[in-house]
Amino acid sequence: MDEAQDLHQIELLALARFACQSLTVVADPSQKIYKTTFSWASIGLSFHADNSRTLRENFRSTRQIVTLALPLRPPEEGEAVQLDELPPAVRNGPLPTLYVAADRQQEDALLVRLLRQLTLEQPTWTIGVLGRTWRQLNDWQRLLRASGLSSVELVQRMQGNVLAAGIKLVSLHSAKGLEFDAVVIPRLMEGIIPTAPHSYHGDALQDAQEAAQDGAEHYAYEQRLLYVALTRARQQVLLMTSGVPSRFLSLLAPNTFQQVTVRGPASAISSQ
Amino acid sequence: MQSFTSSHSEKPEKSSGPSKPTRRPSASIHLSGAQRECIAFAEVAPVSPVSSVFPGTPVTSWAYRIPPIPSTSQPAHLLIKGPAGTGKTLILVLRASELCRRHEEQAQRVKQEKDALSDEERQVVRTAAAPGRRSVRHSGHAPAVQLVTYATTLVEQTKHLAAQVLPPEAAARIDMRSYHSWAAQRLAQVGLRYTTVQQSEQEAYLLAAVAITKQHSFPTSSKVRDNSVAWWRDELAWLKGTLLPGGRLITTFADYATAARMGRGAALQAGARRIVWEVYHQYEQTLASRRVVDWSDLTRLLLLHYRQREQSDQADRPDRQGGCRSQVGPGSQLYQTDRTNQVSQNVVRSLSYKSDVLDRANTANPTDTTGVAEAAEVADVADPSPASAGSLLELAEMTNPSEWRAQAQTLKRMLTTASGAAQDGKLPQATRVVRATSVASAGHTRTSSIIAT
Repeated sequence: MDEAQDLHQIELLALARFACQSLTVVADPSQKIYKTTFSWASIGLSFHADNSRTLRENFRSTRQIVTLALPLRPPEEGEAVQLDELPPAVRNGPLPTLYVAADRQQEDALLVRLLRQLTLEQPTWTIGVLGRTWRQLNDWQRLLRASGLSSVELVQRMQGNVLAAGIKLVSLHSAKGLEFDAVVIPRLMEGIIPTAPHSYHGDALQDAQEAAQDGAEHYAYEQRLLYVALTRARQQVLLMTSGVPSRFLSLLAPNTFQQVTVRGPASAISSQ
Repeated sequence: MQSFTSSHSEKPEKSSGPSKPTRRPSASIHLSGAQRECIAFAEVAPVSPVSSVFPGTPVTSWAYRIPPIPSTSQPAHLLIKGPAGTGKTLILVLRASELCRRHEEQAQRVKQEKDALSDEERQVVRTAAAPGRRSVRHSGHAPAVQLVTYATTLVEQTKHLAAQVLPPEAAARIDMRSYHSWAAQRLAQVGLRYTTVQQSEQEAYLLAAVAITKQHSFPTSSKVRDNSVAWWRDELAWLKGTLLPGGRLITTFADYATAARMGRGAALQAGARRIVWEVYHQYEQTLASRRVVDWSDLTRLLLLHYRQREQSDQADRPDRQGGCRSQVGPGSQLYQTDRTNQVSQNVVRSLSYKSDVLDRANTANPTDTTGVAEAAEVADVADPSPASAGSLLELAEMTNPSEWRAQAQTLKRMLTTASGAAQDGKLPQATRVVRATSVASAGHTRTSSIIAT
């Protein structure tokens, strides 16, 4: 069972009941993006030193990407993540880049330009462009195709192959479990990632302390989503923002990425 | 460095449309020691000698591996944890392939040793294997190794990965599917028939349920109704998919009102929970009236079936539990307090079983003796036995809406028809009727679970 952290409790219970000889469960609590919490013991499974293994060595991402994402990684229970305990990453790569645009039009124009450049320079790469909503991804697909980029596909359900070179449009949620040579995340702005906390209940009796707790959990969830998105990248990470930048950008360590501020009208953007 | 993360030179230019993976199965995947250990982890814990279970019994070594071996064989589960990028999915694919290989090797060995048995030994083996027979007949055969993931997208991508790192025939042996597809497959094997609600329908039912609750007046919490349909789907899936301490499902408002909603992102006040509960109730009634189930129901049905099987096997052999069923944990107390569900599921299960038997009799050659024996069995099981009719009446008494009695009587009439048809040798007709009763009582099950709440 892959990505077990996102199953409901009775679903894992059913798997455990029907596995006659063994159930191998793979999970990463820090990638949890659906909202369930339960213990293994509650479904009759017991994992201890003899039958659990922890993988530490990062084979996917460059040292630069691992370092960039680390401040966003939620600590596992009882575990404090230390920078010097960084899982060893085997390769070096380019420094991740954050592009700050004036508005969304300029951001989209820049996206087209960056993708055109990247597909020329790295024709064998898979490039994941991660968006919040399917509507947004469809818009980008139209835009990219209209701009003459041919190898563009949406990845959802049975559709798309993330192992074949080209531009893959994927939602932040379904990027989980996938990997790309380059990951591009536009729209890193307040209201998109993170979204505003839902009025989950709007209970008139809700007190301020509860409201604050709900907010904290919401932002922790959104932060995990971004952490998962960043750690999909093997070689390169390109981030883009405009308007009010996402609060999570301020969590990133300044020396772990380079920042490029885009000036002038959208039409005047030159290759970076 | 692993080869699958290193080279990109073999990838083609990609245009839209299906593409075939291009990197050839890699003969040399470089793995770390920890990764190798995960792949090789033994899937069965050491088994204590059969001679300790049957003292003084002469058996050859292969009898140690008859599934299910009485109570000494423990499943050996493995948990692999690791942050992003540590190769978890790759390890899972390679481990699945390794387990396939071991299973085939073992099947070969068992066959060889079985062929070499003496008559006396065969007798011993038959005795030892007897407890397993029944459950095999009920559950059908699942692929030896299944790789399950939580989303359909990941199934496709994992297949692409397997095609890269394994030879084609090895990749083809692993049964890969999403969790929901797995649950549907298991339900098909145990013969439960159902219709799954479409997502658009489900959303419409949810919104309608929210609208209906507006007739009720609640002092506070009215805004919970403004939440998105995604929120409702998520909350109801959690409500239906969560176990309370002690392994029970949430079946009453009191359960839900006091359930700890750890990690759910929002505290819900009692007033708001009351509204959620009302919506849940309405939504379930809609599903029942449309004779459909949602994704959460698939797992609930599967667990009910499991529990039924466990109970009936224990009743047969109270001194022993075998194979998968030896695993007891807090979860096995599932539905213990929900007697209504148990009874109605009993009915469904016995009807499904009858339907299966009829199917087999139907396809058997009437001239061969096995076929005749099957037909006799059909006539027997299709009889509206006191067991199933009695269960329905018990159910009616527990829940007591007048419609239940009427439905129980209808079912009984249908079974009588089936029985008559089977005795007259009209097997196709009998099959159809029993199918119909099976479906009808599946609908009742759904209703009963709402009544129970």
